[in-house]
Amino acid sequence: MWSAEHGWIGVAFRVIAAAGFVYLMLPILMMFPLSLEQGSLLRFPPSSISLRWYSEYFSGREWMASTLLSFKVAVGAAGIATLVGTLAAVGLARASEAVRNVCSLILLSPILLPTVVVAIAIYGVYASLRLVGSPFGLILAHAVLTTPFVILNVSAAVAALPRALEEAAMSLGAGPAATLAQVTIPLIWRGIAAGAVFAFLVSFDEVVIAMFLSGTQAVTLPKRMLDGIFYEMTPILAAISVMLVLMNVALAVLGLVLARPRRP
Amino acid sequence: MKRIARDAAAVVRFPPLRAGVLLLLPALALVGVLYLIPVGRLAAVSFGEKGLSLAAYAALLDQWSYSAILLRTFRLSALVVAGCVILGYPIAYVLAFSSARRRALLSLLVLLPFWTSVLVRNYAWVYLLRKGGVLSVAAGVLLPGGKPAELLYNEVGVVIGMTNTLLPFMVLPIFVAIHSQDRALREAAGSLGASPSRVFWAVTLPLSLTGVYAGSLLVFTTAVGFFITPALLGGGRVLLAATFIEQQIQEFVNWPLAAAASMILLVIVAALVAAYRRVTAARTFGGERVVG
Repeated sequence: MWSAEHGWIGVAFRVIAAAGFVYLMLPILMMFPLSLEQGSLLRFPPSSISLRWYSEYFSGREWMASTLLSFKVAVGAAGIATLVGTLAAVGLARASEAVRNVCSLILLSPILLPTVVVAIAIYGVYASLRLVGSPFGLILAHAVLTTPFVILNVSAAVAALPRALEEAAMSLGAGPAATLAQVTIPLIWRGIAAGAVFAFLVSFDEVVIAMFLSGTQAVTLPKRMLDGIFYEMTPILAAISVMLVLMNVALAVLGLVLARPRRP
Repeated sequence: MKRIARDAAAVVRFPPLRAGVLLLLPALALVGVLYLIPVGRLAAVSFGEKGLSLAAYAALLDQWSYSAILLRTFRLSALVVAGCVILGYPIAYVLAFSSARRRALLSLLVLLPFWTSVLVRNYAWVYLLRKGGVLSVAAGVLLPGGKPAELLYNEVGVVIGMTNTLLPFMVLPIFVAIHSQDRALREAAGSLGASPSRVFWAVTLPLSLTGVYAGSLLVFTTAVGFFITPALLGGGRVLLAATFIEQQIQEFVNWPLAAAASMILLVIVAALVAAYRRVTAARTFGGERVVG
């Protein structure tokens, strides 16, 4: 059926695509067996299976402190990004085309331009304000980086929203604030929630900005993992990776389901 | 009648346009204070910390051979684009012609890596590519010489890791470009006697090229500024634009030089972004938008 319809090129594409899927999933799936090793060195297949490195992680004070910090930073950054990003997405939909083009370029530029440049630019300012090593500083920097993800998700939801609903509310006497709070936001909440989920995900995994802004005081989980990659030869990083993969998969599926366009 | 007039007045009194622009202010303030001002300050630093000078730019090109680093960055990014097209086109093609249920399942294999921490994936590659590891031994058997191949801490490892990370960016635009094609075009070609392969070369491929261009620009733009993968899989031996900038700050604390290197990278990436926006605005002869 497939070969009759797509010819030899279709068959070749299937073979290459299968290899491509393996290539994409291999590094992620590889972490599972590696994390179960009982000994102190990464080994495949594991010499004997145990959850030793998971318990080492949960009993490691520094690991726990970094994990908690990453949660705090991601919640704070996603909170700010969701608030300002949602307002901006609704605003962009109402702005004239010229304003929309300029503002969306400015607001999306933190993810269009190299993160390393964003990171050292903020680092330069933070260094003079003594904000390096401050969780609050990390939250603000991550809020800038994650706001575009909220704007993209909410904009998609706003684009699917019939304008007549808001106009009806306004013509019935609702002011702009009441229309936004009682009509627009309840109708686009799925897009807002998807944006919040992706913002959390991006902040929780972010390492380039954290590398510069963590200092010695506010070391996030990815920053501590990065520090460990070259000298920590034990499977503890594999165990942490497995948990990160599971959390990311759960959140990404949640975000994708929320962001999926629904038929009215 | 009076009521209608009052309602109309309410609409006029609260023109949605002006309120809309106010909604943009918090986000613009955040991005302005934490992004535009810092980047502007970096631009100022690149022209000398006291007075106006081009010393940092001159040093960058003379002593630090930044142009060679940029060339290496472009060359590796182009290899990554090629790898992404070779693997991404078939993946997008298979996704586009699968049943809806199968496509939902297969697209997860693209989207889950996309949303998995870059750090985790690169850590895995450090293990997979290390000397004496499975892939290094396998490559050694296939290549002449028979010794385990060096795949880590060199350009090979960086390209393998970056292609892996950026592949989803290529798949999505090509998928859209193939999926949005009118199947009647392929059917017409087939009913006029074209073989399936000829249909592909004469109809499907040319109509999907906008997706390939968009994906290539997206991948190239991201690759040029990439940091984590060259840092981890290059092991300090593959100096690219981003790792060079980081090194100038962390090791040499040379702000003017790092700032100048950043500005050059920023201008290049901004030009690529502008090109990307032109390509994604491209229309097919049918007039419908091919790439979102």
